[in-house]
Amino acid sequence: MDLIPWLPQAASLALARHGLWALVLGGAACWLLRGRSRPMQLSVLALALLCTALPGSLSVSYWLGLAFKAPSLVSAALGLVAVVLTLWPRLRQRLTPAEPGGGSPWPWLRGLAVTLGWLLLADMLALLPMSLYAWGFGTPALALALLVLLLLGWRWGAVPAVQPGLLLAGAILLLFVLTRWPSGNLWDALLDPLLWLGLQVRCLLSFRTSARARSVHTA
Amino acid sequence: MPDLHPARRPRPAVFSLLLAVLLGAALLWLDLAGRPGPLPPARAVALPVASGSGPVPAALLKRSDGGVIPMPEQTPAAHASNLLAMPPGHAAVVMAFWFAGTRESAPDVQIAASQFERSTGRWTPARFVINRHDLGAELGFAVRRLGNPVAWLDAQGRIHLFVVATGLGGWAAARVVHLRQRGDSADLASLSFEALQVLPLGWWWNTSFLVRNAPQPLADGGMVLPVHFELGIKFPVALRFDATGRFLGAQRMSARRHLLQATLLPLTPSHWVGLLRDQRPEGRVSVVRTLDGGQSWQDAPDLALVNPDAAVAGLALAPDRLMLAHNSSPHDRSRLDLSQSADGEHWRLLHTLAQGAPGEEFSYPALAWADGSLWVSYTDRRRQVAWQRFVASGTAP
Repeated sequence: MDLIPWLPQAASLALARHGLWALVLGGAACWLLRGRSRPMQLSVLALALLCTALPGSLSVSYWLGLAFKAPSLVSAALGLVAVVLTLWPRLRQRLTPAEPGGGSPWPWLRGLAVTLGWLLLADMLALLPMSLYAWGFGTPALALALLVLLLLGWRWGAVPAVQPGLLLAGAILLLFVLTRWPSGNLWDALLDPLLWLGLQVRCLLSFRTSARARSVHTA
Repeated sequence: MPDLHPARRPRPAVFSLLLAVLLGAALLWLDLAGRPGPLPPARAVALPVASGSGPVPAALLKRSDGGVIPMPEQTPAAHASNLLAMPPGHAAVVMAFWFAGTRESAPDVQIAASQFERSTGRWTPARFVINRHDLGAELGFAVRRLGNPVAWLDAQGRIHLFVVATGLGGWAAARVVHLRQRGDSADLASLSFEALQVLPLGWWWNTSFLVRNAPQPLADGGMVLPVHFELGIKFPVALRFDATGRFLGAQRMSARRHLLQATLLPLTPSHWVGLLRDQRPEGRVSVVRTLDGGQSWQDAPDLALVNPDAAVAGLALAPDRLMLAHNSSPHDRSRLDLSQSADGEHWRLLHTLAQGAPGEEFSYPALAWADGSLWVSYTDRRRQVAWQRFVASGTAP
């Protein structure tokens, strides 16, 4: 037992849970209503945030926590991005690559996250020879995450559309180190099962789109 | 001032990368700086059970008292008791915690407690100390069901409780919640608990972990708490805590997938035996061992003792005086026995704690040593918690 967990303060966690769910639900509302009228987007967003901000058992987060405990910091960050882009649509242009096909790190990160999720699931079912989840409590796991971020920065850091995402990723790691949200385990901070399931759907859809494009091209 | 040739100007990307490396290093330093020092090896501590000139021979233990622990009013079902020996000088000799309600997994199930008072020699009326609504309010998220309380006294004499609290999906969605008493008084009438944390044990919504058996005290004031994973497969895990109740990590105890509810018996400070419930039909009391104080565990051959998929409870009165309460009826839990061993492998029957008709249940035993006596509690037909006390022959209770 060399990896001593550094757990979040209970008081801060109770507050954080509301905020994290608020961002996830707000972001989900914005994403689902993309393309709809702005007044509708803003109304549903406000409703989602209100439902999460209510105290105690009146809050949606109280009941979401029953099943899903707390979302990851990455899920909350994605929700924040969706909310920000809804409130300031012009920012979306700055995040679009100037040269289509210039590439981005996001497909790589998606693949990495999907793989990590499968390994964590295997770990839960005692299919791995070591305890991968326990590694998430230690500094080596953080070093690995920083290394991945540095490599992505080295490869894509000069692309202006990618820079905000890389900075956000760095901010997520900083927030984790400072607060240890949501559980003190880095894997919980980077990936929750709902996000993992969503990423797999996203990967499958991308694969299908690519396959269709290739079949049209060869035809 | 002459301008530098464009080829000689520093590349911004290099500076950015250097800056990123420095920030990363700072983050790692911050993470390391906030952690405690290296973990000392875990050394099990023996119980102070010497009587007279030496340890009490288990064969001299005679039943001196017993009965039923009082239940909260209008509560028809009880299960999964746990005993906590109180310090000498405390008003209570031992405390019992269990869950009670309409039935197991009912929405009205709460954690009940009672104390055996020194002054009266009786159990106090039971009262509920934890309910799922108050616990949910403290945690900030709903709790569906409660069960399996396990108590521990930290180095400051505060009572910690570890409780199974389920999410959506029954026991498969169980989590282990860590609570600690408010204030310093362990008087039952004023006893209340505050939730410290949900123990982070797994990635899949932190579910499917349960607690059952008492912790093993360590020489540094901390303890090792056995828990188990239960979602289709079952495997035991040992959790370590320091003297204040800080969670120090987890270690899987077995590569097998049909074992749960380990009870820990130290043979030496670093050589421990874990005896476990076996879920298989025609099961046996199963064994795991550690030679390094829980840093690593190995599976060992099963005992000859049958195990009808039932909880066991062990206690080391001395390294060569190991006690085990277990169901010895092969296909049900109608018979509950107390056995003794000198090496953890070979066991002999000492007493039959309970014997009922086929299909009746006397199960989920708990053991504690307090006031020169061995205390035993167990579920009595899911309706109440029975208890028995054993003293050394010739010793007044």
